[in-house]
Amino acid sequence: MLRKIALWVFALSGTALAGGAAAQAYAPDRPIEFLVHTGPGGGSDVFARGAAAVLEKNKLVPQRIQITNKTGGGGLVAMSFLSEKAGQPEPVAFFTSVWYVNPLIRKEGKVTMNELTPIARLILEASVLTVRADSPFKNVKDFIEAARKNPGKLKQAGGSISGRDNNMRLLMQKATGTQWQFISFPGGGERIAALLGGHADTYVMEPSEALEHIRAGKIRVIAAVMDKRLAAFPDVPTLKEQGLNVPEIPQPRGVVGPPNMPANAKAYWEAVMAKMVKTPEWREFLKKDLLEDAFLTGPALQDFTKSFSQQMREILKEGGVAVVR
Amino acid sequence: MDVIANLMQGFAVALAPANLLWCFVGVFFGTIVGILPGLGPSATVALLLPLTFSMPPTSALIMLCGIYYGAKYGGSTTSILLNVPGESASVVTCFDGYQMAKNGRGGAALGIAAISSFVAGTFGVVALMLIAPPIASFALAFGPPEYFGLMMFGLAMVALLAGRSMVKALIALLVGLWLAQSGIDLFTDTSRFTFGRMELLDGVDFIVVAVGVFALGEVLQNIERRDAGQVLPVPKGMRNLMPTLQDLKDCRFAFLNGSVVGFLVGVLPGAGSTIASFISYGIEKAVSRHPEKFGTGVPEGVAAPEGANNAETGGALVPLLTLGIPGSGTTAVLLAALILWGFRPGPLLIAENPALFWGLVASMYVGNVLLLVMNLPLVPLFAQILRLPAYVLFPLIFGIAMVGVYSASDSVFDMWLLAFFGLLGYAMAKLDYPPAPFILGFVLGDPMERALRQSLMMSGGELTVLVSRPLSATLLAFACIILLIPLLTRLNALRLKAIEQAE
Amino acid sequence: MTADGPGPSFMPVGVGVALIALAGWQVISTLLSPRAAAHVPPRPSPSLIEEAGTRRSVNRALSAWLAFAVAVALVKPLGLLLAFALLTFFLVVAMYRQRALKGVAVAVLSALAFHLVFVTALGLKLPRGPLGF
Repeated sequence: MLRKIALWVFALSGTALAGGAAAQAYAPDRPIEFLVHTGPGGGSDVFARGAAAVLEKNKLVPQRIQITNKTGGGGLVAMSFLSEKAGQPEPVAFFTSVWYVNPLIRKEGKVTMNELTPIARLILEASVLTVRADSPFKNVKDFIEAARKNPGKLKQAGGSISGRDNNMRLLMQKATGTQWQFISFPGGGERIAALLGGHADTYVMEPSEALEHIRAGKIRVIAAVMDKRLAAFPDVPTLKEQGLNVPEIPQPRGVVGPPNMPANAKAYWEAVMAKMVKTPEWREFLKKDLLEDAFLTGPALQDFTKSFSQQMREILKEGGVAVVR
Repeated sequence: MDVIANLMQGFAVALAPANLLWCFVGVFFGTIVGILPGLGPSATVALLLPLTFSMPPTSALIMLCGIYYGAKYGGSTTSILLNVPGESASVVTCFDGYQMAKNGRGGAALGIAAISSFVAGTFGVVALMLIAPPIASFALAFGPPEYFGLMMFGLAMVALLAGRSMVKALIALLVGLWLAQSGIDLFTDTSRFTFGRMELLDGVDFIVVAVGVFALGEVLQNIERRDAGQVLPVPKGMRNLMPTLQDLKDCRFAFLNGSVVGFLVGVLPGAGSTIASFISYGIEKAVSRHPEKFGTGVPEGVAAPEGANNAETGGALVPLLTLGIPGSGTTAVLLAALILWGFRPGPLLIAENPALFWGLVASMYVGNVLLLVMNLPLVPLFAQILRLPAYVLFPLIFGIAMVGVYSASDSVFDMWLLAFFGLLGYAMAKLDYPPAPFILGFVLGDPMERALRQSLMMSGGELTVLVSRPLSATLLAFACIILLIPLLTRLNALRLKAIEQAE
Repeated sequence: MTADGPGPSFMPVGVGVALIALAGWQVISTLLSPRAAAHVPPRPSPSLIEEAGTRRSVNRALSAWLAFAVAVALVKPLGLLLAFALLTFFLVVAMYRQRALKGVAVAVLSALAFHLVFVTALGLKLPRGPLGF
């Protein structure tokens, strides 16, 4: 009798141990789903595909990766979709600053970054302040002077007023006591067209957008919006160097998981991402698209999540955008 | 001439057996995608993008572009036969195309659509090839006031789409305008008419509205009539299976109209093929000798919008290839594809990659020919769909609508919206409110408002900016002329009546 | 009108006012000249039978619409194809007055065709019901 009991205890504990051991390590056993909030061809989509290519090339993941596009609501649909998978180890989503900003200003949003599980911050995307090549502004000082002489006459093309480019404009206006107009266009294509066509005097764009037009001699970069000069534009001084004491708001990009993501899944992806950012293909990818490596995980990432949300909240309030969370 | 030499080299690339195959694959897929509502070329191009990484980039671009302009061919098929717009630009083809099918001339309508698409598509490629750089500068000169002028010109078309009651047409237009405002306001980031629903943050999807009002509205009307037999007379005899020479003669101007309007509107970033089709249709009706017949099934009413939406693909490629600026959803995906393949789209793309550009141009000629050859013989085959009895066909339409809408947005909420718009379409038909102005308002409402507010932001609140620039003033003048046409026609009719009575 | 142009309520208010005005005009003109306002949409081709435009036929169309709405409600619990098949059956039998066997045949064949074309061939992900499709 005792032997039978002992046998049972042995068997049960063995199963428990084995089960526990199985629960320790996580590895994807189905095709991996990467979630992005833009349509195909959009910024997040291209970035996610780039990351997937690097991961697959270096065989850092055992399954193939597919990209799921959940567009809508400026990221809110994707965030909502992710939050519905609470407690599950997938999908892994790619966030940008709109994931931080939009839940703050839209009451239709249902979840914020604080409730999701940030896994890693991968890059910080700088931006550059540009003007047409044939315009009289050679640097930021020229532009500010012109704005001072003609208040409200100069025009900046950009996205919505809660976007990064308008935030920069508001900060710059406040720091210099000047004022110029902001015109919203729905897409990058139309914004560049407005700048090139003379309907706007300046545009804050991504460095990768700017490269080709600079090469063709159509536009000029007058400032780098980052805390240090950009490798691709070593001759372009930053805003701070040109005397404008405004905080830079680089765009963070990284990966985030569903709320209450299992700890082993989170650890798995943290490790995979840490390996990815060390590969030469990743470095090549960053270099090509002029992105700054800004790998961050763990408690430092949590601090960043909190502080970035707060920073955005303050900037939005100052800009007169209604904050609901 | 340089162009000829380049083109010859381009054909050498395009006619290479592998590229020919990829071109065929692209246009074939494109046609299928066009036929199914909800599955659009931009989604399909994105879907096939990963496959292209193992292909040489020129072949990949040939295939993806094939999907793009192939979809425009396919979209007309369901519009004509079932009143289901397969692609947003095909909604205008529904107006006369479906009526032609109802009159037993469905085959002729399909044939006209294919021929017009071929003529205009080829025109678009020729224009792309010859005048891309100067046209690109023209496009850049189009600022917000000019866009406003263009949109008002488009909205003025309501005067031509009105039918019997102008008041009802205006009401329909205004409801469309109101619906267009649903969603996030770009400028102030506030939500309008979202009723707290996240799904409405981007506004109402065009496919939901178009399929609901046109397709479901028609189904409900048919159920009301309950004609259980064949819903539409099957075209018999070559006269009705294919366009006649008379049809082709009637459409001479429409071919030109569609080509030019489609290409020019396509060049403007942000102005899409739906706008091009509406404007082309309106111009055709305005210059026609029998405008009152539009809407009852005239071939020009099919040729003009079909041509416009095909020429638009050539136009949309202009800013993409000459400036690296995407003008529409599909060209945005193509831009991303070019970047992923290692190209640097921008003003120097053509100069640095002549084989890519000329190979693409040559293959677009080939593609258009392939599509014509593929589509024309299929016309009698497609027309046989009309043999299906109503009780099979119309539930199928319900189903296609459901699948199409769901596949476009992954949400059951959109299916509820579809049901709502189906009811609206039925009500509009019963109460004699024309659906064309409604769709017109819905399509143009957003771009028009945006252009107006951008213009006012540019000028600091001065309204005069809209008329002080030559291009926008001209467009607004055209808009006024269009609006006055019905008034002038009526005055002329009264005058003639007075003369008669005096005699 | 500020330097930033008209605000987000400019268009809604403008369109709303115009709509109310036009709707009012329409109401008034209908009341004043009921004869002219009795626009009946042109009868479709004369080969069609029966009573279009009567209360009974309109009710029929409305019930078909209701059936569609019910089908939409059933998409999540039953899966799209099953909901569609049920809708088809209802339409064929109740609306078009065909025999029940025909209804089943059309419903099953249509749903099957949809499955083959959309799910198998095109790989679309349609909502699945308890029966797995």
